[in-house]
Amino acid sequence: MKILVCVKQVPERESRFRLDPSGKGYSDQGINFVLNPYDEYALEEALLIRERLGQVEITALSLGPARVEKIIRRALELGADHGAHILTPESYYLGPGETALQIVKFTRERGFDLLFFGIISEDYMRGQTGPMVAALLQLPFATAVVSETISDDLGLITVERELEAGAREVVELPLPAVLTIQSGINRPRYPRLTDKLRARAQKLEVITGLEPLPPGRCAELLRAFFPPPSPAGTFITGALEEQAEKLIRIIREKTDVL
Amino acid sequence: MNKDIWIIAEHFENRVRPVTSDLVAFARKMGGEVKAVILGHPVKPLAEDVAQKTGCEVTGIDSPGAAVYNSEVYRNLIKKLCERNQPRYLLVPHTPLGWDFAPALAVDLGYSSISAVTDFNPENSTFIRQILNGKLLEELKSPPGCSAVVTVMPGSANPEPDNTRPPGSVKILEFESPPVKTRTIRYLPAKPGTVNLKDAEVIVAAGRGLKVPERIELIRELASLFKRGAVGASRPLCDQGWLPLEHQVGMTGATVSPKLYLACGISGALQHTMGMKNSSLIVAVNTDRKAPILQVAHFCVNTDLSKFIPVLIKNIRKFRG
Repeated sequence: MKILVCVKQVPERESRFRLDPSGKGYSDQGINFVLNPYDEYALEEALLIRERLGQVEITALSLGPARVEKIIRRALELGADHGAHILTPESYYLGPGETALQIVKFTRERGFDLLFFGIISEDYMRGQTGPMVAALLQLPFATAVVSETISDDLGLITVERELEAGAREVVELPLPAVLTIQSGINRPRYPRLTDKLRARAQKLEVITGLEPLPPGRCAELLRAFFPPPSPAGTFITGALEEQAEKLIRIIREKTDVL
Repeated sequence: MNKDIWIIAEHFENRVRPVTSDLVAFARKMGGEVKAVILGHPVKPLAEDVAQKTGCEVTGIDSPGAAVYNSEVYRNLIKKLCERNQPRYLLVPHTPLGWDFAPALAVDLGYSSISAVTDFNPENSTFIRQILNGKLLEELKSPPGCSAVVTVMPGSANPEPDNTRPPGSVKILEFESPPVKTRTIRYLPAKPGTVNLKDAEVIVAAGRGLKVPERIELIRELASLFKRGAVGASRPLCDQGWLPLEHQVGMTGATVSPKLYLACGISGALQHTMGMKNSSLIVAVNTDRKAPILQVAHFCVNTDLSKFIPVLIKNIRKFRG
C-alpha cells in the first residue's frame, strides 16, 4: 500500500506578523516556520497504518520555496519513507486551486492508495486543497476524520468523521481515497534518533516547474490587513491584588454570579 | 450567468438548522435576488419550512440518495441545478457538512472557491476572511464573469426573526439517486456528557496559554467557586489531551452564552469565539495585548494566568467569607 501525506510549512503559532511589500500576505522575514500541526496528525495516522499493516510506503510531499525542505525532512525524521518537494519561487502566492493541481500532477502514475491531508493549514485556514485534489482525481473523500479502519482486502476504508457538538458519522470509501485528518485523532510521536540521522542524509525528490492554471477560475486575493483594534475591551490594570479586586467588583456590577 | 445568490440550506434530523437563517441574512446583505436550495428525501416539508421562516423562494431537490447527507450526492445534484441556471454566488454554511462538499463542488462546476468568510464588502464585491488564527484578515474576490462557491462562517450576519416576511414560493424537483462511491453508514449522536456547558452560568475556559497541564487544576478550582460553574476549553487544548473534547467551546464544540465567560490563555481564533461571543460578560486573561480574543472580550487582565488566577481565587474566597 502507498500513502501520500501532503504537508505544509506554516509560521509558528506564536509568531507576530508584518505585511509583506505586496500587501497581499505576511512577510516571512524573521518568522520561524514549522510543520503544520494538523499535518502532523495526518502523518502520524499514516505511520500508525504502516505499523498496523506492514508493507506500507509513505511519501511526504510539500509545495513551497526552498525553506520548505525543512519540514519535508521533519516528516522523514518522524518516519516517512520518501520526501518530495515541488519547488515554487520565493514569495509566490499559491491558492488552493493551484496547489491542488500540482499535487494531482505529482500523483499521476504513482499509484497512491491513500492521500492524507491535515484538515486545514494553520496559516490560511481554508481546508480546500484535500477535497479539491479528490474532485480533480475523481476519488472519494472524507473530511474531519477522527478514526479509520481498513478492510482486510485493502479495498475499503471506513472512517468516522466529526460533525458538530460531539456527533459523528461513519462513512465507507473504496480505495484509492482522500482523507483530511482532524486534530486529536492520535498523539503525534517524537522522532527517534535513528530516523533523525537517516532524514539528514536522505535525498529528496525535487520537482520544478508549475502546472499552469486554467485562467479566471480562482479567487483573486486583493490584500491582507490587520483587524481593526478591539472596540470596547478595557484593560484591568494594577498589581495582582488590585487587579483581582477590580475584576471581582466588575463581575458583581455586571452579573449576579458572585 | 445571472446575478442570483443561492444559499444551500442545512438540515439535520428533519429540522432546518438555524445557520440557514444566518446564510439568508448574509446573502441579503450582499444584495441581489436570494434563493434557497435544500436537498433531502422527502424534502417538501423542509423546503416549506425554509420558505416560511425566511421568505425566500425555495427549490427543494428530492432524491432518495439525499435522505442523509452524502458529499457526492450533494455535488451531483447541486451541479445539475447550476447547469440549468447558473447563479453568481452559491453560499454554503461553513460547517462540517458545508466545508466537506463546497471545495469539491467548486472544482466540479469550474467556479472559484472561497472558504470561511465572515463579511462581504458590497463596494468592491469582495469577501473578508480571517487568516493566521485571526491575527490578519484577507480580502478576496471572485473574478468578473466567474461564479463562486463561498462558505460562510456561522454567525456572520444577524438573521431576521423567523416569519418576518411573507412565505416564499416552493418548487420541488425530483431526481434519481446518482451513483456514488462514498457510503454513509450511520450517524453517531454525541455521547451524553457529564459536562453541562449549556446550562452553566459561569464558564472558566482554558487555552494553550496554560502552558502546562497541571494548571487545569487552577481552572477547575476557579470554576468550582461558582454555583453553576463549568470548565470550558479551546480545541487545541483538547487535542493535546489535557481535557476531553466534551469541554470544547466553539466550532465543532458547544455554543454557549453564560453570564460570565473567563477566557484564560485563549488567543481567540474565530473557531473559538463564534461559540462564546454572545456571553454577557467576557473577561480575557492573556499576556498578549494583541490576542484576537480582545476583539470580543469586555475586559482583559494582561497578566500571566498562573500568577493571577491564584490571587483571584483567594480574593473570591475572602469575599465569600
